[in-house]
Amino acid sequence: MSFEEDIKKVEEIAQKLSSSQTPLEEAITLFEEGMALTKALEKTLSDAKRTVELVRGEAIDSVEITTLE
Amino acid sequence: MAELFETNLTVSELTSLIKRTLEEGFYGLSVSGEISNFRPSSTGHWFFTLKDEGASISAVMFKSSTWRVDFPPKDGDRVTVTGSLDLYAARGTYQIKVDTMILAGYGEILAELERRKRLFAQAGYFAQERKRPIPPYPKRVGVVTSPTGAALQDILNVLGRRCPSVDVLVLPAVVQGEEAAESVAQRIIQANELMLCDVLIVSRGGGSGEDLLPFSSEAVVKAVAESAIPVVSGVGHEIDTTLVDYAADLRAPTPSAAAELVSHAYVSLHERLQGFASLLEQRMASRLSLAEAQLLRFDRESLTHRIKTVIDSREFLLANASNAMTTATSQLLASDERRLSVVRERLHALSPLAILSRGYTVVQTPDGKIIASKEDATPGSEVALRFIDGSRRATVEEDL
Repeated sequence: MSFEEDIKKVEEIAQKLSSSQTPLEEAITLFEEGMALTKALEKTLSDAKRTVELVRGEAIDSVEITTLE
Repeated sequence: MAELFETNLTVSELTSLIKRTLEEGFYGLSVSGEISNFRPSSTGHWFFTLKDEGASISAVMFKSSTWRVDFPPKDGDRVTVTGSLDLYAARGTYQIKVDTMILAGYGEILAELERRKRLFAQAGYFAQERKRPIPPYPKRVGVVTSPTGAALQDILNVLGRRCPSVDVLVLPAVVQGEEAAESVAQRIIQANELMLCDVLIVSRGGGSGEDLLPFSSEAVVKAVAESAIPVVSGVGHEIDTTLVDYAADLRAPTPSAAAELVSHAYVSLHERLQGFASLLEQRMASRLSLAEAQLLRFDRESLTHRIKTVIDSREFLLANASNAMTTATSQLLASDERRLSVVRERLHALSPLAILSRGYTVVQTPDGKIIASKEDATPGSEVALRFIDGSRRATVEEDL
């Protein structure tokens, strides 16, 4: 699932959770799912290590990409 | 003037004469030179010397004028100033009182930029409908800039701090000199051929108006306008405007600011996520207290009370019902008795005994069968005659 979809999902969960129509059992499941998603997103945001690459060569057939960082 | 030769003047009188001559004769000046000994005062006025190879002149620029200067002047800057001469009587010095100051040659550059701006606008490079939205969560950011410049370091720092998960693809370009325009344009085109990034920062650190000119060239402006990848421009300092800013999908005042704009959604997402977590907790807590409230309605005391209410109301109904039943039964009995006597009278009226009492007799065989026809009463046979008060045996005779 993509980043944006996950964020949407969490928003929906928060919405459902605030409705008193949601049965308690379902609310608990939703809460756990929402918290897990939030943590996962947070982790993706802060933990992942980026790569910085440099394009060498100008012509399209002589392009070479090397890692900088 | 001739009379001056024969007049004895005080210093003040002479100075006043010189002051009038200077100030009335030298105004609306435009002077070019190099700044030296630049001394900004704590009160906001600028004091400096304007010089060239052969001469120098003191200069002052008051606070009321300095705010309009769009660059921080420093020693060595070649500038063109406008102003008038001013004499400071107490010291007997004169200076140029500066109204406006621009970097030398800047006027020509501005005029050239204006000319190109009109041209590019006509060519449609700045058209609003060309603008593409910047993706909020880019996965890889392309950067067209000098690989050794401070701009790249600034961008890498900002991105690394704000969104460490986002990859960066550097497309190294020459950003200074004659090759710059072509080099930058070529890298923008190459980025679109490679399609390895979802947003492109076109950037360069600060420099003179001339240094930034390549970023106002047609090659660069056209490449940016035609780029399928959304472009964020971040060229020079806040005050610099290059034409690439008009063609870009988003304009940032500096390289760092470009990186900030590109990572903006990630930063606010970070805050939103923390908001989500506490929102979820809060919602869950209120959902739980709702459930608790629902449970509380089932405690012993209130249950006893509610059941007692139910029992009481049922008991009341029961008492009512049994009372009604008693009444109904007795009423039923009374009416049954009435009906019985009616029936009895009607039965009585129909009873053969009642007929017998009126003088009729029933003829029966000895075993009790009623003889209703003379054919069944054979002469000589024995029959029973039943009267109201009893029976007599009889023998059947011949026909009458």
